Amino acid sequence: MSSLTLVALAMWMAALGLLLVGYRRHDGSAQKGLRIGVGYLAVMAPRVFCALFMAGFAAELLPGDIISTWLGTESGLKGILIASVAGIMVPAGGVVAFPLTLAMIKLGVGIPQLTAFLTSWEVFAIHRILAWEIPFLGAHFVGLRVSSSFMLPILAGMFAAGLMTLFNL
Amino acid sequence: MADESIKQEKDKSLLNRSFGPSLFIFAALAIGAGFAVYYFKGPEAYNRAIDDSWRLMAFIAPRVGAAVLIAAFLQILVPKEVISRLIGENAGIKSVLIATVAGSITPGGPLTSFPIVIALYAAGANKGALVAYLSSWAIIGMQRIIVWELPLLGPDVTAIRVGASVLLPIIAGTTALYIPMRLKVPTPPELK
Repeated sequence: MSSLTLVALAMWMAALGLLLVGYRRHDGSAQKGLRIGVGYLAVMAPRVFCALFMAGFAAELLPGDIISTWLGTESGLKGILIASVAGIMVPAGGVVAFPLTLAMIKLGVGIPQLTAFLTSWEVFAIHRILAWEIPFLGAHFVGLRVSSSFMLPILAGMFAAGLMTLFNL
Repeated sequence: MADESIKQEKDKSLLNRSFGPSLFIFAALAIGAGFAVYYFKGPEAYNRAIDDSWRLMAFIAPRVGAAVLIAAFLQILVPKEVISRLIGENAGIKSVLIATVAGSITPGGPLTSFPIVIALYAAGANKGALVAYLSSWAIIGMQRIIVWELPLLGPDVTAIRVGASVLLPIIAGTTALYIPMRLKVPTPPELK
């Protein structure tokens, strides 16, 4: 059995386990969970559908040679730095960032560089800072958070490279 | 019946959220990208992209059901009050560690996480814990990993990325704890 099938099985076991926990509470948790689940599915399914095609097309449209040279596994620390900067410039949620990442995998971007890119997007996503963080928590908090997090994407890329060396991937 | 109309209202809002304007913009972008591929790269590249996308779809479809169920039940079963009490009561590195775990299991988008940060602040959480919580939610949030990353990027990439990232919220939180900056969070009127 491939590791991918195992992941799918593990996910369904976890989902059914949680459903059972909810059911045994006898307070409508199971029904509520199922309703929220269907809601998520209704919102997600059409977007994932679009996202997959977008990723497929993006992989054809993006300048593959340049990206694989700059961000390929061989690009090392320089690639991690470039990926960290690129991640800041994705002003959108997971629905855009993950298809983009998928397209990058298809183009041969290294996993450490990919990790740096995703971390940078997760930490600095500019749309989230503008739309949520400043209004809710104030510019002061953003300042504190950015001062203590600016090195995270580069660290993440280096940790990922370390893990890959450690496990011989 | 009042209940009926509320239920209908809910159904309508779900349909609206499902097929809202953002989806049409998204679909338009995907179609536009498709035309661009066909026009600039030719029909062969276009067909290759379509084939790739369908293959991935067939691969993801069996996982999506499990993913949304896990996300939904995490939302219901995680006791939010216990977590905010734990973070508020503890100090130093310990609060950073608890906040990291809490941030990771906090489901939902910014609409849930940012109000929780304000609630934590009000409950007396220190600046390190607040930064750790938000970083953890953003970087190793279970829901995003389960709903997006695992199905789209596959278990190998996900394992390496998450493995490389588990320490990051702790690093950020500890840095925030010792960085000489004071924390001021605007208090919304509802909290008074």
